[in-house]
Amino acid sequence: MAVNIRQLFPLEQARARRIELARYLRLDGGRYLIAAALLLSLMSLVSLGQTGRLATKGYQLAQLQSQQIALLRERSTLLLQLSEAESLVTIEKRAQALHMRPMAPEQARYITIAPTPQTADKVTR
Amino acid sequence: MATRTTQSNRPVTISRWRINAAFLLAMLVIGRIVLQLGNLQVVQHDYLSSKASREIDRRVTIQPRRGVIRDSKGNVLALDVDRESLYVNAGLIDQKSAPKLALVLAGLLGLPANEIQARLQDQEHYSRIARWLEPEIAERITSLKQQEPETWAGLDLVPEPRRVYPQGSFAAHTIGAVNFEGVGISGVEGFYDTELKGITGTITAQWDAGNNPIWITPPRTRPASDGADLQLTLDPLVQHVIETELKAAVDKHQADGGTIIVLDVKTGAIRGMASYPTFNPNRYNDYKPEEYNLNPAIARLYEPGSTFKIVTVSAGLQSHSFTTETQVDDTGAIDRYGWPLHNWDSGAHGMITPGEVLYYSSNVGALQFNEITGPEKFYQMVKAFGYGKATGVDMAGEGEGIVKYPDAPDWGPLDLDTNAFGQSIGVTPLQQVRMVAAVGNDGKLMRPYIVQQRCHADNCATTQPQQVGQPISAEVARTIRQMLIKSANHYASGGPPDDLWLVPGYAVCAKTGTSQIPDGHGGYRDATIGSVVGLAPAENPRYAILVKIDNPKDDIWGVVTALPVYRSIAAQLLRYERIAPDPGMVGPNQVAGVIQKPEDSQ
Repeated sequence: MAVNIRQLFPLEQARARRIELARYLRLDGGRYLIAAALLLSLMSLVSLGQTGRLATKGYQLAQLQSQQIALLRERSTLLLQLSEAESLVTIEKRAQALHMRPMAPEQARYITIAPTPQTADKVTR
Repeated sequence: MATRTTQSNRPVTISRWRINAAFLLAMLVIGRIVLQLGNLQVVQHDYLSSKASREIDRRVTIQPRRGVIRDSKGNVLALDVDRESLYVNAGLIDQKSAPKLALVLAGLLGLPANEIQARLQDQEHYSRIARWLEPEIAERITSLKQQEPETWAGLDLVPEPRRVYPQGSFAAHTIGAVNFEGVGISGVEGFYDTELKGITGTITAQWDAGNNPIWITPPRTRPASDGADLQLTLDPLVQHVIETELKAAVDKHQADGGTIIVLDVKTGAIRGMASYPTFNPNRYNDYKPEEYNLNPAIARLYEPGSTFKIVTVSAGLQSHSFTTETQVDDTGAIDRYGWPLHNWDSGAHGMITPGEVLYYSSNVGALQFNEITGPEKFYQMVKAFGYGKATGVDMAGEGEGIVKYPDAPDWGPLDLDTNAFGQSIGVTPLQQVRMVAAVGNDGKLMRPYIVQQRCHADNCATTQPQQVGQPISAEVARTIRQMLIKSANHYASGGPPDDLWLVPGYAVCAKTGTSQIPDGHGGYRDATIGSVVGLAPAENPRYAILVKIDNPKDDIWGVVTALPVYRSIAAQLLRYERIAPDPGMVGPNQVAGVIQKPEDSQ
């Protein structure tokens, strides 16, 4: 590798050269390499970001599915409790505990309701 | 940095060898990194990727939910509930505290402490200590784990689905049971097992340590298809009534057991089906296999006795072999082919019509009318009513019955005579009640069914009633119903002309039967089956009812054991249907809708 050995100018001239911005942009072929590296880095960052977001969404989805399973379990348990409470044996026991008694046949009263013209029409249709 | 105030023209230089050395060092480091990357990503690619894949790639099965079974009103009869099972990873258990842990668990679970301790110390297996814990016990264990996490580490509560029957033994024989492997083994659970259990799904994904799928590579999912939900035709009130009445009758008469079936006459839907003794499907393994595997209402054969005379009279009337006015001489006893055949009380009734055969339940009359009909027409009627083959009901384990037809090598003309009054022929209770339902349905024979509707998600398929035959015409059916009304009322009074009404306020049909139980060697045991079949109400019947009491110990006759049960059920069902009693159908000292018990009249 060739090395340029130059005499460095006195301090004031060094300062003047330092603030000359255009000098820094004279990269010749190097600018393309740096641009490519920057572009690649940007794409990698975007890809990493997307992957991270996807993984996060996946975990959120898994959490929601766990919640769904827990809710379905709770639903089954509630359905079980409901069906136990609705059983006729249970209802009969609770009715007896409330001092209710089965209706005696002679207590039944039957009322025949004559059909109205509207209900008769509906039946006909 | 010191600066010289005087100008100097000496140039500042960097040594070439320092720059070269720094460059070389950098290249060595970069080169090493590149080489290592190449080794990992290229050379060892296959090995490392398969190793990673084995750790994180898995196919997990998604278990479908077994379908729910409901009655006709939507009450749940069977469903899957997640219950936690206790597993142990003994490698994570502090073995010094294993004995204490075993004692605590033994107290909670009701299991021997030494068995639990053995599992806690078995470091080779991840084993289950107890399955399907009650929620309270699972909560207690969870609470203990939270209080002492180090002691209880290694014990896991894993939810597992369990089939639960919230109403216990209610309609147990009809619903059936599911074994511990989740397979339906009897009843509706067995017949519809494939539809109820659904289709297993899978999810193939990369999984992290917390068993969550990693979505960098999207999972491949084949979703599970949950089982179909079934709605039965059972009416919960009808079922409750018949189970209560059956148990009371079996207990009262110290019988071996019994069966009651209530069929919807018009459709063939089974509104109630009960057998006793019953079982609790939640603990099916506490019972003998024949108790939970077999539904007596559809599988257990019996000789129908005098209830079969309905078929005898139907055969003659339908084939015009005789009319309602034709008479035969009932002498009380008769000899046929060297065998004495007689009435149930050996009593003679003189010249009797077909209606009086049913009224007096005359065996002698029945066999003579059957001889008039002849074997060809009689057995044609037997076949037309569906005897000797399965009804096709959608329940597992149905029997076909035993009918000896004239083309059988061991058939003899005596069989025609004995079949006339329901002996030497085997039927199932369901076949018998379906026969009388056809009489109530103007002769139309329907296929009985128990499942009203099958639903997969929102797609429901409703069972349509299916007519499978027309053994008798509507006119013959009506005639027989009139005969059976008189037969029913005869039981209420014990003799003409002051017939009372079997169910005051209502005309119902009924025919009792008392048959002997075969001993399996061509003879009969010293035991009987009392039964009754009937229709309520008689005109435009809603229900066909069969009551069968097996081997009652205090009285052999169906009129004593089965008929009071039938009366009570008929009265309750007529009230349930809101059918008003007819004041013209109430006899002296009777109250509409009130069944007078024998002890009330003393």
